[in-house]
Amino acid sequence: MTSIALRAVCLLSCLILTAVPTLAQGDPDEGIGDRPAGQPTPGVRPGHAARLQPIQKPTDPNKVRGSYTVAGETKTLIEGDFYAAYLCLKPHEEKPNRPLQPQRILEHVLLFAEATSMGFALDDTEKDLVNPIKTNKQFESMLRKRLEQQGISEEQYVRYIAETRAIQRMKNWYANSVRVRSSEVYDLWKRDNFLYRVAYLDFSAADLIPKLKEKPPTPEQLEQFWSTNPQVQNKYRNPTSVTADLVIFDPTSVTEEEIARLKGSRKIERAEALEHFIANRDRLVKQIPSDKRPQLYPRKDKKVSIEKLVTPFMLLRSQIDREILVGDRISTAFKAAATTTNSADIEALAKTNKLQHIRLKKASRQEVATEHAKLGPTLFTDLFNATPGALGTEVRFFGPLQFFWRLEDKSVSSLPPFDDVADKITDDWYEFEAYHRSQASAKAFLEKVDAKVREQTKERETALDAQAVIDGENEIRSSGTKDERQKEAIRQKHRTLADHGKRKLRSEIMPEHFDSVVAAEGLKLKEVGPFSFSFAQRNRTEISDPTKRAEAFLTSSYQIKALGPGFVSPILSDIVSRTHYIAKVLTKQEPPFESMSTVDYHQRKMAAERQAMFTSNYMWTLFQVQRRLGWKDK
Amino acid sequence: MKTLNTIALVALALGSAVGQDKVSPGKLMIELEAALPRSAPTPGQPIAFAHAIDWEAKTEKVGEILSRASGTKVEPHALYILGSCLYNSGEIEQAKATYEDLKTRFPKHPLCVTAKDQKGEKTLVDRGIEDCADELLFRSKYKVRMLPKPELDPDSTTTMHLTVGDVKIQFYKNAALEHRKNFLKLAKENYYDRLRVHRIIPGHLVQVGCPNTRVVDPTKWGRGGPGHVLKNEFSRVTHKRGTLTMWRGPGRPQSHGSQFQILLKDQPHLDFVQTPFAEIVEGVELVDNLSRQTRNQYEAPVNECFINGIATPKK
Repeated sequence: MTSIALRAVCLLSCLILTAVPTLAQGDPDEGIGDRPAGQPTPGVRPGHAARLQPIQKPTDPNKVRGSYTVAGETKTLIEGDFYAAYLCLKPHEEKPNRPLQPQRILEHVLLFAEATSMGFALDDTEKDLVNPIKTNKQFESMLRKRLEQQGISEEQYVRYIAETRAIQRMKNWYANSVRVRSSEVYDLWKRDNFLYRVAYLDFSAADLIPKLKEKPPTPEQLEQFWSTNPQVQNKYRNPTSVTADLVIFDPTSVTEEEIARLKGSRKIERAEALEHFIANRDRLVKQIPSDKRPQLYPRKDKKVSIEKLVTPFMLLRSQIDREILVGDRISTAFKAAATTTNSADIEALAKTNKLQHIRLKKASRQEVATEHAKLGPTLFTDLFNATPGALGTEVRFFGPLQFFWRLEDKSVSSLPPFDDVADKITDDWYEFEAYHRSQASAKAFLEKVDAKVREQTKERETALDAQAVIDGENEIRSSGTKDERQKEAIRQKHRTLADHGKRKLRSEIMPEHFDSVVAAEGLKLKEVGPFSFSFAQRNRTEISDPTKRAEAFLTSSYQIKALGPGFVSPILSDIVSRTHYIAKVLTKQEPPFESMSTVDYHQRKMAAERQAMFTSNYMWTLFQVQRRLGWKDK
Repeated sequence: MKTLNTIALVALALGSAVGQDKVSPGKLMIELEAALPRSAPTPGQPIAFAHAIDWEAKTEKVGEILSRASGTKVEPHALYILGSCLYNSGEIEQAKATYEDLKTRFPKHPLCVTAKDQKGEKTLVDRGIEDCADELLFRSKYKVRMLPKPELDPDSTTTMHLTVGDVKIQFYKNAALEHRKNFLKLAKENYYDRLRVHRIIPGHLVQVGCPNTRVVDPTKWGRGGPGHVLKNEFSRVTHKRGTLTMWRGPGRPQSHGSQFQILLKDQPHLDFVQTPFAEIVEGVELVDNLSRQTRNQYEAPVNECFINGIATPKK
């Protein structure tokens, strides 16, 4: 067959596949409901069987299924039209064991009605232009034959193409209606770029450590610290480990002399090599060396004669020969390994068969993953799941390597006894204690502010609580509910509202008391800003200046971002610098448009566009189109 | 000049079609569909974002169709699409005039009567007019600056010698210039020579440029850098197949100094996230093939692949 003829056949098959997409088998009128009753549809979950029923031919085609309004005109959908739409969609969209559902048909009918009302329906000329039967005269007869085989009339086929095209046209028009306004972009950008000025107090753990070191912890304190602190336990925990022997065979490591010797004793025919290649194609093709791969893809500009063209089989031929010639080496060793009882035997066995032996001695997951990565990502898990003393179930392949193992022992992660770690954990104790004491200082400060605030808001808070009780009882009475659970839910709702009111009240009063407590305690507020919110800096530990470290943390705090001007934050703990902060927002200003960079503009515009495109796409769901056209079921 | 051209096109389109060859409206409609700047996204297909579309070319094409569609049913549709093209190419006044003209001349057309916007409040044409008015008002108060259209520099062709073969890349004339400078400087210092490809995602990307890959310890691969980071240089360049984009670690605000990714699939979600600085102009299929090799648990190819060298351009 000439290359032109081959190309024509390929083109034809592509054309048919494109022109008649996913045509279901069988008579479209038959449906697939001729299965004996009570038997579930194969491939369909039993719970879904009732929902996935094929659509039946209506007994009364004039029965009204529902109505909708399009372009101000109310229309009805009768069962006959609905079934005709089903027949139109069925050959193209129904999949084996998954009958087309009424929702999909209704969606199509309504979307097409909407598209028609907007002037997107195709006229006869357009139908001819999108109809492959008319545009590809060369294959007309073949297409007609194919449609006939599938039981689809040309009219049905053209109707499907024209209707789906009209719907797609409508969707495309809407996609092209997405316009982002600069005002939207500015609004989006503003949210992330308010300019804050913040006053803060810091409570650093590092400052407390020298004081703590003056009085070291007692052994009892350390023991309690060890027994109750999971973080420290994890730090000194003995890892999960395995002890095993690995026997590995690398076909590429066999010397040429040996191969030559083996070739002398046995000649490998092309057919045998090809059979081996076909049986191991996936594994072998991935092993074509990187420097040989370009030969498979000759460039247009570099003319390569047909004799020099290579196939994966040709590139791999020497490796295939090697695998056949020396392949039984590892299987022999594997069979013999079944009788071995200890590591020395395995090692001797590997040596006899010229294989590599690796002894894993209490190797952790990390160690196995890094040092023996060439044996695959699941090696440690597989070893750990094996029974100690047992040989692996088979010879495994990973990349070019073949291997098997015997697990000797495994141990799960365990905690060392306190005596083994007592000397090591003293520094951890200082760190832990300092961190928590500094946090307690911050908490004590906030409690003092809270106490002052509560003193002032006490009466109003009591009034809010009382009002919540009255409102709750009033609502219970007016709703006439008798159920105790419902009554409690109503009361809870009003209690929550009252709590919200109390929190708001406290937040409003807190700033002035915050300042008074700061003055009374003789603390000094530090200031940062104006700044706009930024990403958290990972290298805060590298910043030695405490003020700059605090700035780096505060300028990236989401909690500060959420606060209004004048508001006081809860305790903000920076684990990296081991410092606690309490901040008060002094000012929060809108950034000027001029300070938005061109890149920021485009970045936010893209975000707005993504949202608009999503909304535009969401318009085409059945729920949305039913809502737009006021669909009413009869 | 650009504005004049647009006005001329619109004027031509709105004027009579005397002397034009008659083309069937059906054919014109199909042509208009093919010329649409974007189509409705389908699952798995990335969104075509406005910054990645050549609106000037689209405006010209749609204007040309409009000039032939005078008096046909295609005319209002073409006018509507032209309005969108003009709006996105920054010709807001022209866009508004186009929408208003559509409304005046075809007051009963579905686009002016039945086709409602996403909120279901106004017709598509009215929404277009409102968007334009709002944008004009905003632009009268503030100066909106746009990024320039990116252009490749044919004089910057550079050959990257990979184990899988040679690929030719070109840098941009007007985008990511610092990244280009940095890349060429490192290449000249032989920084990239004998670095392993340390991350592949089949059919998606290939990542390279970590100096730690000179040593066989895959746990450290992907963590090294040249000792400096670069400021992001975002531009209108979209992340498409064949793009070389400087990697930016998760949560890190700046571009990594040397590790870069070769994309093998359009990935517009990376626009304004990473800095694209060059494009493969020849040999992308070799990289594609490399990405499909067997990977180890570190996502590196089991068959090692190296950058053997980068031949910097003469200029």
